[in-house]
Amino acid sequence: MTTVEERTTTDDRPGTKPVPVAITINGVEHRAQVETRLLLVHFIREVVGLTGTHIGCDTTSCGACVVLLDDVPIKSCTLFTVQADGRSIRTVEGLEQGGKLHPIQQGFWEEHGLQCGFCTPGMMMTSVALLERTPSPTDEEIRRAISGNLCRCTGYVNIVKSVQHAANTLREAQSLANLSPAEVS
Amino acid sequence: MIADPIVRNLATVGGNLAHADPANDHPATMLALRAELVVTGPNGTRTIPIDSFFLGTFTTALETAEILIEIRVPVPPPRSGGAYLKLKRKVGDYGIAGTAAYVVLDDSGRLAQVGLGLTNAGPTPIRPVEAEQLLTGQSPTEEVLRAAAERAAAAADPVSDLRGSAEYKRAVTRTLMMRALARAVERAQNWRAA
Repeated sequence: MTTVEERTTTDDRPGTKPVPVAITINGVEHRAQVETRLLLVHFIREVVGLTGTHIGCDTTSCGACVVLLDDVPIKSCTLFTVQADGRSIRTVEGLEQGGKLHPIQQGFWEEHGLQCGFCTPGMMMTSVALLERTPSPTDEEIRRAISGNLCRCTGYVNIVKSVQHAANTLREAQSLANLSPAEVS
Repeated sequence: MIADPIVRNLATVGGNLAHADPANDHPATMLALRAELVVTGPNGTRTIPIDSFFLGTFTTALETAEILIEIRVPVPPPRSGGAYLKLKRKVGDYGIAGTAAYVVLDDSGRLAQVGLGLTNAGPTPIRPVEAEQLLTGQSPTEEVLRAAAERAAAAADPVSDLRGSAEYKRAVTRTLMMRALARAVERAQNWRAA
């Protein structure tokens, strides 16, 4: 694990004395001094500089800022940065590996699961968490899982198809991995 | 059911109060239950009665650097009961209107104590005090409950928006409060020591 250079955010308002945090994002530990009420989403975007996580409403309604906190999908405007101290976060930037799209990204591409794209990072992170727990979800289960992610373009039909596409890809990869080398050849 | 699955992965009753959205559910329940809120900040810790907490939409009595750390709810005595009802467009949505009712009955079955709260009925969560006063000391007959529900609806000050007209929302508040009161009374009458 690598550690990036320490960063600091400060301001002069009362009660805003910075405190140290160490948060792992996509496998990299980030240390910083942050104001105690800095929201996690602002830490991710403005302190760490990962702007793939979006801010739609700032009030935990829209789901554009969903990230995985210790593998659980959460809206990163729901909690303070200090509440994530010592914990592990995954953002949309962590999906692609070695220049290869994650199956959920491939699914959104193939099934045209986005139009303007603003909701897409949160939509994909929620879907990744769903597929890790539920490899073969029904459309109903997908719709329930993304019920906290608002999309104002697509009408959700293609998003559900995108998640099913990813589920298929992941299941195929899993069944290949379960075969012995002799069976594969 | 409150909110969506992702919100429920983290959300707390305290956050629901401190956010002070009049459409949130727990302000009404905590108004009805007469909760006290313990808050702390650089100048120390203090206790705020729920009646003094909600100052406006998204605005509370919390000072700039204070945070809510504890909610104190009086232990429900024998012969108490409560109910919270809301009407919403879909599961997890904010209520078109919501009503909280909490009652304590005396030995003769009269309403010794009444707490009420309204969700999404104005710029702040509302405690319909006149409706509480009308009920206190009375026998919980249908007629009395209906009159109190009318009073509670009169205390509502909703705005017309995509969830319906102000008139419709006031009507929903009246109907829900009638049902919440009836449910709370029924639960108090059937109270059994846990």
